[in-house]
Amino acid sequence: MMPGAGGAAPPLLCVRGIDVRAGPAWRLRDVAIDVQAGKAVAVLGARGSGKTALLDVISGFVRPEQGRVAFDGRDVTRWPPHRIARAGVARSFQNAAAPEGCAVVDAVRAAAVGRGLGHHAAARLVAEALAATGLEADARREAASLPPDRLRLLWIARVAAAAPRLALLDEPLAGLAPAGAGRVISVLRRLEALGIAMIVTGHDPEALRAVCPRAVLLRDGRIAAAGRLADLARA
Amino acid sequence: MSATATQAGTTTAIYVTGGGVAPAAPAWWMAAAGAAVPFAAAALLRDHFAFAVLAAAAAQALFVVSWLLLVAGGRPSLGHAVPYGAGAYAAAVLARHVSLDAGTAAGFLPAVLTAGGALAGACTGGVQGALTRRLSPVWVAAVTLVTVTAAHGLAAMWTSPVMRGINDGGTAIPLGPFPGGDRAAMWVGAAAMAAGVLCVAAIVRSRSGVGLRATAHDPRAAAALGFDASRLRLGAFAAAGAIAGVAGALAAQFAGRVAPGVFSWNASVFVAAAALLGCPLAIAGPAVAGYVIGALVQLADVTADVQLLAFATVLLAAGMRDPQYVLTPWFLWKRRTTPDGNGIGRQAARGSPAGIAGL
Repeated sequence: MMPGAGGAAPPLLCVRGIDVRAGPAWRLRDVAIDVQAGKAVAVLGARGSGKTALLDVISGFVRPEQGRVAFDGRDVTRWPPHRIARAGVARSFQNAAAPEGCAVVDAVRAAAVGRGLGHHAAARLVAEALAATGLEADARREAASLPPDRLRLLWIARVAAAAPRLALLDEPLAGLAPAGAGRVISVLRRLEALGIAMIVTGHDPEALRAVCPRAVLLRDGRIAAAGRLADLARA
Repeated sequence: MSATATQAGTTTAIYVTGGGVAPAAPAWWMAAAGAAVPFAAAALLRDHFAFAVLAAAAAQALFVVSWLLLVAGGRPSLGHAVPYGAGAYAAAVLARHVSLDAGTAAGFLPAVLTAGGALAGACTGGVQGALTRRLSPVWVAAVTLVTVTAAHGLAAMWTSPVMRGINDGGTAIPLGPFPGGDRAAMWVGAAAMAAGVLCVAAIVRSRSGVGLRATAHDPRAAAALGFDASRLRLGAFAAAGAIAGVAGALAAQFAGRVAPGVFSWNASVFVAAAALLGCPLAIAGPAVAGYVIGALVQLADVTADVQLLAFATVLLAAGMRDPQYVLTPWFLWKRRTTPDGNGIGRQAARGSPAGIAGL
């Protein structure tokens, strides 16, 4: 059984048999993962294990040689990234540059606008995203001037403002001090409480235990283990 | 003052903000103030020569404003003279084919010619956008500059029968006087400039504008937000081309003729210099800069060579001051500095370790 599966309801995201090649090597090989609506799954692994490549495939930035990605019952394998985003998949990047010359509130608003929401709906979601991430006080501040942990919260606020059904969060805790990581974790729990399904990548299973009950462990582009995160952490 | 460093593609930059407060999006009151400038100038003047100068200057300002759409998308063209010239030529060709009754419908002629110019500008702008949609900004500038040279060559070679009545070096096309004279031309120019400023301000603040700015910053992140970068860029080139085409059509009607000189490096460098002097972050600033420069060049009767030298000097000065951001929406004449107050423009452009602190 794939992580996240377990109920009678069909999974929100269904990834099957994904192969991605990078030159002579495989970045992903026969990867499969299910995510149920409103549930969070951790994708763990060392650097270069294929975590980001998997998010790239799901979000449409990389087309797999083989395999299928279905979101909400529709085959989105060949869809361009912007179409997948509009369908309800929001994505954060690990090393994204801060938006230059842009206030925090405007950076967050761009996510709601990109999703195609109307003015009032976008304004409401932006306010909610800023409140959920604790960035209200920084709303008029230059986004590029935020410290690293608050910048990470900004990316999560953008994900939240897009009102996604599925959030793909690439290493949201990487490089953060414990206090900053704790803040991000509490925000992720709030998103989960809002019913947003999540795939969260990371190295440290302990750090993600509070958010993700289930996990997949990637090694050299293949699924090495899958199941309850607590069990994987013990192993 | 605070700072952070980010990876942007393969280069590293430090962004420094005064007090950490971001500049707001172009405000409506600023756009309205910029739009009011040509009306104020027109109301103050009584001289026919000044009427002609201000009419042409307003067309130049509209040309500058149109270019800002490309800057907003992070893909400034150095060949924006192509849609401008296409608009001028379309107006000239239409003027020789459209036969409106002078007694009953002559008032519609400028509108018809201007609409034709807009269409020609949108088409040529769209072609430029399609040619450059997958190129990096540097190659966008290079390829579009080549299109100017190509267009100039084509215009100089054009010897179609409709070109008879030549009066400028054997290649110009006459359009006849503007209906209503120079005073009417001045007011029409002022109205066009004001409409252009407000139109571009509205586009930049719209959903497409938000997407364009997001795409300019990081196309990958913009796609993840739901913006179709390729379509937005193409749309920006077409819209900028349409407005430039209107400017070209009006300039041709105000001048009473059009010549291959409209497809010149001068025009392309002029828009960039005016935008830099007026601050590309705003809409009204470059419009007013274009208006003032356009008027001064005519009043002082500055030759084309001197104009090119002056505009190129502005670009060079900007490049030396803030090399990584010249011709981007984030250009600042004030040099970006590290927290210890040292200028980092050149180091950051070279990817020096001085730009890697922070994140």
